[in-house]
Amino acid sequence: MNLDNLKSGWQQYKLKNSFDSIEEKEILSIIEAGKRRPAWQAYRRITQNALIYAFLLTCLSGGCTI
Amino acid sequence: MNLTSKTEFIKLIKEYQRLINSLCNIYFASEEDRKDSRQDIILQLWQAYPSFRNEAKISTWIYKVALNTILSKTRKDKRRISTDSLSSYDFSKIAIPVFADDEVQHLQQAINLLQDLDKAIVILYLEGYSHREIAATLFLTETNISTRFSRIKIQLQKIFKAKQNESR
Repeated sequence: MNLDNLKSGWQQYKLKNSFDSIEEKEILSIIEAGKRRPAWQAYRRITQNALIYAFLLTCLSGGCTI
Repeated sequence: MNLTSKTEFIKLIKEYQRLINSLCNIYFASEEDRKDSRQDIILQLWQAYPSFRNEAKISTWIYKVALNTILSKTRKDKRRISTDSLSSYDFSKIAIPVFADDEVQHLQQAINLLQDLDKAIVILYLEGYSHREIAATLFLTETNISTRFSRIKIQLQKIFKAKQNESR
């Protein structure tokens, strides 16, 4: 099977897909909506995870007897 | 990122939109999935844009980000065309545009029946990338690509044979 025979098909396929234009508005809305979370949110998540980890570590090492 | 970056980025997406559209259309059957994945790709490209240093060709970078975004989406997504066994596959299920000519139809039918990762390998090969470059783009080893490539060739041969038998 020679895959090179499919090369012109792929080029034509790409050409046909250029008709569905991506509008500037669409791109802007995607990148605006996907902005990174503010730093304080990241710190909050890190603190939460650190607390959970510390709690689990304490329990598993026998420090917390319920 | 500043306004200049945004303008540059929009220009870049416009320039490579047919590549992005082609990848989304070849992987997803429904319009909704196509749009979703297009958005995901644009967002991933935007987030990776500051770290892009022109060390690679822009198209290579776009392929890398786009294909890996699609592959991670398809791993989660169950709504895609399933890769049924060849003998039981109904070729009429494949969505082919009315205007598609033989070569494009041929390509779509073949690629649609491959596994997701194999599709990516074939697409990159058709774009003229070497096994080494394909391996780097898909985070695989060169040996892995070579092995998969041999399997793909056999699989495609079977697909075309089955298609020929069906049309007789």
